[in-house]
Amino acid sequence: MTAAAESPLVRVEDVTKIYHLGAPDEVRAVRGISMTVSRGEVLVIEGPSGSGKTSLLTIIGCMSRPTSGQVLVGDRRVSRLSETALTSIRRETFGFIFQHLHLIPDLTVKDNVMLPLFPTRMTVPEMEDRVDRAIRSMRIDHRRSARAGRISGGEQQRTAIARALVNEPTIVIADEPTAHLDSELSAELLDILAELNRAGTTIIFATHDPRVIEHPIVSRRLVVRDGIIVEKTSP
Amino acid sequence: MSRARTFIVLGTLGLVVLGSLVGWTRYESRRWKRDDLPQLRALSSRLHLSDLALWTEARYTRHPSQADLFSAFQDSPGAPEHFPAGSIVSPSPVLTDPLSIVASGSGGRLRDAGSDGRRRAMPEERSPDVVAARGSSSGWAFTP
Amino acid sequence: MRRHLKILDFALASLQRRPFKNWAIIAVYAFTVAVVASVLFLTQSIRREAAQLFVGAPELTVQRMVGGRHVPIDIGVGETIAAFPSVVGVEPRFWGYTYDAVTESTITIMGAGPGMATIDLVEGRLPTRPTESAIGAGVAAMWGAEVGGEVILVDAATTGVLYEVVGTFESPSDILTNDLVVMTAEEAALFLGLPEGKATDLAVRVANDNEIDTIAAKVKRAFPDSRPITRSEVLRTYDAVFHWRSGMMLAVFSGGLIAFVILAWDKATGLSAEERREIGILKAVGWDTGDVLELKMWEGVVISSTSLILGLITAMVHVFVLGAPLLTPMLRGWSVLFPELHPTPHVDPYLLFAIGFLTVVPYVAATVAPSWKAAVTDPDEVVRG
Repeated sequence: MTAAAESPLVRVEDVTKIYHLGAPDEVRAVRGISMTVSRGEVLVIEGPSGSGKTSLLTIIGCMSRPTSGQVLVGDRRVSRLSETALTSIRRETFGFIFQHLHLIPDLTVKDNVMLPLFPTRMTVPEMEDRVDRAIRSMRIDHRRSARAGRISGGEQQRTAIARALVNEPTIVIADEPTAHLDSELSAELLDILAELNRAGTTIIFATHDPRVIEHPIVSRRLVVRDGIIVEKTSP
Repeated sequence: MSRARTFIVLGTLGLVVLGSLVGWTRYESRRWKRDDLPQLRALSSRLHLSDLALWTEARYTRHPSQADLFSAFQDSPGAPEHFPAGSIVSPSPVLTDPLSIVASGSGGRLRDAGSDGRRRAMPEERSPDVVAARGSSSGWAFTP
Repeated sequence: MRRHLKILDFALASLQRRPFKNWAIIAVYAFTVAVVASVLFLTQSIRREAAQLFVGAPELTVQRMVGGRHVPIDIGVGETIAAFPSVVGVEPRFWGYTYDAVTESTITIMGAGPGMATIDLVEGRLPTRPTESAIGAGVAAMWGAEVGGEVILVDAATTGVLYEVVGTFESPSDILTNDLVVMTAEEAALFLGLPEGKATDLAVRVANDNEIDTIAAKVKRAFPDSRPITRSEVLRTYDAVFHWRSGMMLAVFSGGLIAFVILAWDKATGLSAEERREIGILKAVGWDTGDVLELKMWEGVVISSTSLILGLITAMVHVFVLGAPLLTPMLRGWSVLFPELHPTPHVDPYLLFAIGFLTVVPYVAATVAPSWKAAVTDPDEVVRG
């Protein structure tokens, strides 16, 4: 995947993110970061907790707006968009795998996977079809009607990935995906993601887990500390 | 989506039931107006009835439109009226005791039976134990 | 449209997760609606019946007042009134009450003036001789009397008098005749102990409805101690009396209403941490604020409209099919001879809309409003939380 010449999928320009601006408990999570995400790469944003990597990730993923600076997804300037437009970009472009999975335990696996599709204009058969494919690709068909809270940790992990994939995103963002997994499950997750990447999906990790950082699929590493990038490597 | 459809179908069904009940009430209401109302009006006109026979406990409830404007507890000794005082002051036993009422009528003020075509029921015609129990309460709070 | 249906679908899935809780809310809510609607339906129906019925009542009733109380009036007064222009006729009414101590009930004695003895709604006929009577269904039931039987009543001189029952009033007239014992006018006067030449009051027939108030004023001028009651006052009385009665019933239920409001408030506003998290998840996976609020709105609409429909159906069946058995004890008060109610079905569409509006809107608002804050926060705060 040589994407250097292509225009980047996401461009982040001199972005800062300050929480509780002006308040005594003001937190400057991101202090001027510029970076790009290219098509097809596997990017790791590395750093200890509190370094600002999750903040950076949510800014890249259009979940929050930067306090200052620019974010471009494709050629659209995200920082100026309305909430609805921002939400639709997020829905169309990104799939998220959260550290705590964030499944709704009382809902069935199928409904959980379908969550991102409810507020779209997609027809029901289309929706069902997408969900079927996502569930099948994660090999959890036999659990589709089970409640998400009652299935094993590995199955929950797969449900969360299926949900991230159901909108067929160009970029999958995974925030500390292996933090609560044993090595077996971590390996399985990384295998799934590697396979996705081979199929062309761009993947961004935020992690400090060496099992992820040292995985052969990783194409680039950014080390973040105190809200700035301190190191860039491309193995 | 199937859930939404089920809900909409059931909701519509509920509305249809409700709608047909409303329709039924309209039909019944019209039928009453056509069939019963003229007869009822004729009856009320014939007997000069001016009030609903719903509450018999006092004049101002039995004939709300005819009663004195604000006197409660006018006619029914058996009924504590609706004003708060009714829960505290109960009617005198002389008014509510069936026996004392009949008993007071037996005190020699009987008109001769048959002279005016009326047929009188003597208190003695009631059951013997009722008669025997008569006079047990004077009804007065203070007696000499 | 499709998007809205899908969000509704998700709202149902979301409600289905706690079936017991949500059905319990629906049950309580529907019950509350049913009670309020029953009271309103019943009183509205009776009020309407009264309004329609008393069109047949005398245009004017003239009573005599002494010391603020209604006392017998000279029949001679009627002759003077009958001479007023537009007065078609004056008829003395002989009516009053007698307390039957055995059944502990008050009975209304009504004298039937001259006129047809057979009339619709009377099985048998009206009395024509002093020893005869026609009785209402309530009186008949209490004494187990029927046409051909006898009733004993204690008259004003505390003498027990026997009357032959020659007629009973039929069921559709219960609301007018339930506690009546009708006698001939003369017998009624004698029974009630009215002095010679006196009547309870005078019923005045006026030809032109527009003249009623004028006649009433004239009567008042001619006889300062009289109290003329116009038919419109009778109708107004019934309007007012049911407002008050339904208010009483609602007051009894207000405890329940308040409890329900508290329940709804608690349920709707107490956005639990779990619910907040869920909203965050929805936002994170691509729902925007509007979608989340729409979801909450649907949740409210599903619960409240289901309750509304169930409650209204229950109320209609309860009042119009079953005759309001659950409200009767409250409505009857101390009344012993309370008629069996068969209210004429009548529902004002305006009333239905009013109930619907008052049921659905506050509940939906109470469901949506508290979600607002959670729905507008950026999803990242929930995700990092």
